Amino acid sequence: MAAYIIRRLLGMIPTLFVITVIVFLLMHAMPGNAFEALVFNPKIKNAAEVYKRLVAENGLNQSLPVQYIHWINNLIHGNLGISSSLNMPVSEAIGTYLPNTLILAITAEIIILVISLPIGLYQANKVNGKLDVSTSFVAIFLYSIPGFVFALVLIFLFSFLEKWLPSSGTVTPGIATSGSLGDRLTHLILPALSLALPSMAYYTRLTRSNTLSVIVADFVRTARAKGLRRPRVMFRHVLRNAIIPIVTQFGFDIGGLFGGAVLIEQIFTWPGMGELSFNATINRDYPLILGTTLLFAVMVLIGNLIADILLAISDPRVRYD
Amino acid sequence: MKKRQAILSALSVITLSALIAGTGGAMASAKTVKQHRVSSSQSTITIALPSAFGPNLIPALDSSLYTAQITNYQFDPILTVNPQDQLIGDLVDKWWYSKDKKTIYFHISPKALWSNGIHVTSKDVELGVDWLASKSYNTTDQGEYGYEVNSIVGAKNPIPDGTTPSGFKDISPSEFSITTYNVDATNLSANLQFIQPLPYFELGKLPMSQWKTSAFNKLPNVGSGPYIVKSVVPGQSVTMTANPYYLHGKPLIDTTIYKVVSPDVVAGDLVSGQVNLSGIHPADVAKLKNVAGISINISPTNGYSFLGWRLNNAVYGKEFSNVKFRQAVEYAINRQALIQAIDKGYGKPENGPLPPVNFWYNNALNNTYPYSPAKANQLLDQAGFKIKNGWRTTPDGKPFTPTLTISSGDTNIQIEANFIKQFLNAVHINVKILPPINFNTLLNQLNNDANGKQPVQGFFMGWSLGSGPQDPRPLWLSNAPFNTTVQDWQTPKSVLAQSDKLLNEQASAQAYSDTYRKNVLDQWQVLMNQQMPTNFLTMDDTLTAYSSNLHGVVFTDLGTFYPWKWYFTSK
Amino acid sequence: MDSQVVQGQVGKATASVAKSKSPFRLSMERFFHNPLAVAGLIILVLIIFITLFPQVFTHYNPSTPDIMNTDSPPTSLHPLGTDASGYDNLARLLYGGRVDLTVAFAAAFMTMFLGTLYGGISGFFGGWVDNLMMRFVDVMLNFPFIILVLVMESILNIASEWMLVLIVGITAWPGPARLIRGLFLQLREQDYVIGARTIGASRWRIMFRHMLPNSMSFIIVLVSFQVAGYVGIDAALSYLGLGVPLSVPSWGGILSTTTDYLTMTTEPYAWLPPTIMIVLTILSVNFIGDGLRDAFDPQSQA
Repeated sequence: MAAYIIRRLLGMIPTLFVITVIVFLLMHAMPGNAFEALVFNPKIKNAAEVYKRLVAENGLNQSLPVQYIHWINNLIHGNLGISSSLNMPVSEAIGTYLPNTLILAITAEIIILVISLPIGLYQANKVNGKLDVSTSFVAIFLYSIPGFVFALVLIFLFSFLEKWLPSSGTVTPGIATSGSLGDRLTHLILPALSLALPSMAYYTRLTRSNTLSVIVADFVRTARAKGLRRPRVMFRHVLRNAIIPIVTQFGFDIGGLFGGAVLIEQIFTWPGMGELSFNATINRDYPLILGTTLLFAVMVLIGNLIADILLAISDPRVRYD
Repeated sequence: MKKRQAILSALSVITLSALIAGTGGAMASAKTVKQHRVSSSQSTITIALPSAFGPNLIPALDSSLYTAQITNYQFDPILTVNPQDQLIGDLVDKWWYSKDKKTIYFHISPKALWSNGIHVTSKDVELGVDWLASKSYNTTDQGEYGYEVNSIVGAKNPIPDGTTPSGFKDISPSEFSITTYNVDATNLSANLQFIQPLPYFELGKLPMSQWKTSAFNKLPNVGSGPYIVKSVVPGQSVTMTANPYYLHGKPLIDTTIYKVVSPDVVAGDLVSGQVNLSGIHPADVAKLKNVAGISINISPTNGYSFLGWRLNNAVYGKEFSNVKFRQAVEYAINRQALIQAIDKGYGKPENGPLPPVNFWYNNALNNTYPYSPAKANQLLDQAGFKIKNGWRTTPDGKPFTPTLTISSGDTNIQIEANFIKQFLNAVHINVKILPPINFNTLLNQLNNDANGKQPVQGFFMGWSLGSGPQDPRPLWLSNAPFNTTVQDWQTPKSVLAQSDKLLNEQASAQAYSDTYRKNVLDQWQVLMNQQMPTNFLTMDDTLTAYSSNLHGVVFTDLGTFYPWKWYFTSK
Repeated sequence: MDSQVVQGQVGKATASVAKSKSPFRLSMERFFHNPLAVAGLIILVLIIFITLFPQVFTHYNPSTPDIMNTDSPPTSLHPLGTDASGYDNLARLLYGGRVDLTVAFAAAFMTMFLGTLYGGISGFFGGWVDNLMMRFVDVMLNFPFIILVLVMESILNIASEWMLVLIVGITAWPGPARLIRGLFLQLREQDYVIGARTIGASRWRIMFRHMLPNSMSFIIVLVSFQVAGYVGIDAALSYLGLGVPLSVPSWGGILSTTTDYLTMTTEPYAWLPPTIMIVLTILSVNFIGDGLRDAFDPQSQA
């Protein structure tokens, strides 16, 4: 297993290389660059000259391979460059935005798992029962509402109609308890629910259908025939097998966690990675685009690796060679 | 808000200006409005920002308009304007010119104090000037890219960090003088008034190259404006507290919070009391009018939108260059209907390069180019655009299918483009709208179009002129470092020469007289109105909603005034 | 139940020689006995019909603006009012499904065919084939969606539903492929696969005859969720200002301009109908998916 993990980690390097090259090429295929807007600023003395200097200073006048090698070289020295739109180091920008994204995403993920796993298991045991049908319906209904509409409806209900929760931000500014745990939690509830509730349906379905397909398998029948009690069969035999695709999906989601959710972030003024990378793209902020992409890519790859490892642990029959 | 940032932001989205409550506007002396505080039931005002502010809080260092709103609350300039757009004192209470008008003398107000009680001195002003002239600010940090001190002797080009241009003289702790290269009637109001003194005792010892990474930049603990930053949550909010030593008196409201709120949520925040002041959309006015606890202000905006044509375009440059074509377009577009449909009536047709609300606006331009398809058809016929199968051809008889390029992101621009297409189709111009492109792509096409080969032919833009424009030259002089206008409008040379002559005259020594300058600017506006270098469209009002129990706010086309005199009453 | 399992597996393998009702026909019968699935099918057919022939229901052109009649509340002429361009909201609603459905079904198609085939092959063969194929998926998973939209927009100069279809085609399949590969990795160790292998069945036969039917329930769930996910993609892109042009009606486009607080509270006639259409589409696709899953799943109890 250790050898396998090391091999996979080393295998990431060429993958990352290809990903960054693709992003690099696509990024430069977008017309315009970060400094074009300044040519439109009548306040600038010799705008053309300033523009030329900035382009030269940022190495944008060099050939693409040279620019890429330059970036890689800086990366090896731990330098992700300076964001031209935020006017601060890329690492600092990511350091500011990433924690917000992680707090929100992990909370949402916990809500999803805590709600959907039991519901899915329950549904599978009471297939086509009243509760199975009604919970399935609610879950799919929530999933079918476009995400930002759902978020705005939540805000409308719980922040405007009933003034229970704040509509935006991660903390309340200007009060004594600003930034306390309670303050943060009240701000977290709405965006986390907006992210979690619509995606719940997917996990519920996955759990339900996997459990269903396992429940009828031979080994379960055998276990039950041996006289094992139902809960024990459920957890020792059924869940263990049913969980495999869910685990795969979960590993899959890890990369997504770091990607953030640009719509939810914009609506709730939750400054996170989604908005950071979106704005970087819109502003042609090359160092920031590369920095955020690299982070996502590493996380997606690690997530996939974790999924594969979890898969092997939960099902010893899955071999790696 | 300052002109330099205002122009850039207005470029990005015309209608964004509707969302920016005119907060952080120019600040003026306290003499005119009487203080009538009732009871302060609320000591915090929350102002909505539609988009995130930047990370740098040293004045002029950040390029974001919203950051400037915050730093302008913390750092007062030497001079400011009153709601009538006239230059008045601020940290400087008196100023006078030398005989040759090249040197200006300034006297710092005895009431000008930093928020820790220390006097603002000439040394602080000097630091502000040094900063704007420094290599660090102008070449490394990039800042707002504005180089507004280049008129000062010795600062034509950026100078090494920490050196003072020879044109700046520190006469005494309360007096200083600035000598400029040329006599320029517009310089003080267009450039020098914005100089913000910086606290020498905080920043004087710190090399300018380190300012950006300094603690002061992240959380400036001292200022000369009405409110001082207390805490910052990046990307979300800035909390500011009243400056007890503010020269116009301690602000009545203890705390000001600038909070980033999504435009989709902001109206709900207003209604539920989570925001006290915010810009709103035209369609929202009618809906918010009847909501208890909300008041609405409608002020004209010192800015306008326009439809530009690439006069050098390889395909139709010749046709666009025909002044009759542009005049016909102006007649063909029902601008009053545009205002009704898009601005819900809150706006005015724009007939020239200065909006009607501007101090220098020429009233003779009123009601020129009324909506008249007949007149448009007549002009196009005269210019030789013949109608064939229902659509006009070029005077050479080739098909004439010009395109409009619009930027994505703002639906209002797309809506406006669709209406304009209808109006032009009605006079048989077969105009087509290209799929919306990203704003940066549009800029790229406009910037790299010396040979007219870019796909962009007709396009939409807007200018927000901020306070002023005390000097239209940067936008309109034929050699101005500013592309859309200059590249587009190089012919006929005689008209351009006339325009340049008038523009230089309005800044000459005689132009220190307002009547003289007004006369010159009037002539220039008439010329622009006749030539229509771009098709001027509309001036959209600035619409602001605020809590009804908030009082003392003075709304103008230049922004909101006197934040230190705002106060709340109990509901 | 037990016999059904056996029958299911054997039945699949020997379907061609069975004389009684074919499994497909049995499945169809089961499907049509599921009321929710049938209801879903009817609704989806109706929605597709409306989308294909909107002119039957309205004589308004959804792309002709009317400057004298913007933001009108519902009237007898415009039962759902008009929007800021003076477009008739009802016409926009009826025509709007084209974009959303085309994109969603393109995504479903890619998931079903490319995703299943790719993931299936990768998972079945395992080893270096799997390794290589999954590295390519890793690359595809990191394809920057928004950059792709911006590049396409400027290179192809088309910001229409077809650009969205193209982009969805590129980006929709790697995720499902990754999941299906995981499932196949697990399935290939199942007894019946090992059994089939020992009796000398060809690899393709094992894949398509044995493993695919057993992963069908999973794939159907996946596809129906893909459809749901991509019906809303246009709404999300419009919200970010990257959607189809205003002159092209789409449900997402309507939604993105009508979901601010004031419009939501004062103009339900503008935003509720497109929301209902999206919700109905997704619900019916899911019910159909459920019905199919139950009907085709050899292990299903239904």
